[in-house]
Amino acid sequence: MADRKEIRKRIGSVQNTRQITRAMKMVAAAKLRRSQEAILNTRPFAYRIYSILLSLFQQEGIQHPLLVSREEKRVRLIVVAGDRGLCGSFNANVFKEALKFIKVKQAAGVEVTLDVIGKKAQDFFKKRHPISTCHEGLLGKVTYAKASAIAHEILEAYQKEEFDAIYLVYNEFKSAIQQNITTERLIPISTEAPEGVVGILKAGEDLRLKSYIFEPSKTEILNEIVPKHFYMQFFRCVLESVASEHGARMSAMESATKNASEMIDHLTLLYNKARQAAITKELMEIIGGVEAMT
Amino acid sequence: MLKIDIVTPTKKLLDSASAESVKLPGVKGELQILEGHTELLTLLKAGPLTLVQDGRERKFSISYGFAEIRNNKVLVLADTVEESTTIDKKRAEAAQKKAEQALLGVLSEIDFKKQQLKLERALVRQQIT
Repeated sequence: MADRKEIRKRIGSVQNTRQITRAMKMVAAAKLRRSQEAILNTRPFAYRIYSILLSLFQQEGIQHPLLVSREEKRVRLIVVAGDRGLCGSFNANVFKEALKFIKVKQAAGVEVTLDVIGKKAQDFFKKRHPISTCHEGLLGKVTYAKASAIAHEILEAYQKEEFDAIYLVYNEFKSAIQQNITTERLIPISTEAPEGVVGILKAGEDLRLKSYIFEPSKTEILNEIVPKHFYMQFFRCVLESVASEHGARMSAMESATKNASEMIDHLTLLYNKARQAAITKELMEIIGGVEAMT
Repeated sequence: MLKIDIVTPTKKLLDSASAESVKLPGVKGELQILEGHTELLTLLKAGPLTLVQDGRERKFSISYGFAEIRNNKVLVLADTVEESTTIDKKRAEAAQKKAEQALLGVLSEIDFKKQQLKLERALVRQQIT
């Protein structure tokens, strides 16, 4: 049969693809491990900042501009996606959630401006919604210095009252195979401790700060600690998104590898059948020839 | 004995290490913490942090953060922390020169402040090595 060569060629090309997807899976797995570690490393700092913050909230006469809610007329949405594709629905999910958020806010008469992180998000929203800033070069290697510089910029715009609240939509990292799309309001900061957190922070002991000496003063400490908390939140969200991206890519590549293997099996079967058919045909011809001679 | 934690956004440098005394660069001046210190929450500026462990000193360069002292526990939260043994003196010198150069030029208020802070950090790093 003429298409035997064709099938062999296809098997070859699928094998090549499988090799690539397998390699990409390995790379994603290694990167995932590293970014998971990075998340864990931020936790001690983030928890402690937050526990100090929560205990400060219990004090009397605590005031800070980032804690006061303004009426929402304009809000800023930070969309955290990835620079690259081939990671399943990782990017698409964020976009869907962001569009939904924009729709809801716009229906309520709130103007939404976007800050995007990740080339994919930039490409997607370019045609759909005005983008105010694209933060490039963060995702290659996420460092606290880079993240806090961006967070600082955003905060300054907030303090100039360019918008009244800051929301962030990103993939929250649950496990290597599970990502949760989350929209969080980062600013204004809620002074209520979210449920469940209190236990982790051992707030029972931390919430009593009455006898403390504050140097230079409560207000100045608050002025330092509130922005820092925001930077940390932002940093953490970006790290989680990066870990999620690697996780998503790993599982996408895993299933691509599996599909390629299945396809190779199927094609090999076809190939063998074709070969058998050719042999049978040849045999028939020989037998037919012998029969004609006798 | 004091227990001391030093934590940065990306690392935990010390995890309840014991020390006899700790010197911190508080915003209002240097603070020495000994056992039985009163409860305190303070801002820190860039400066040297000195720890006395078994009679020996360990020095760190830290920049901007907080310290909380409670129940003989010292918690230091800072943006960057480096132990004196890991500091590259040449790099610190280069950073100092760069910042000094930049400060001579015309700068916006924010950049001026940034360079000033950089200079401060570079000086602290050299001071403790």
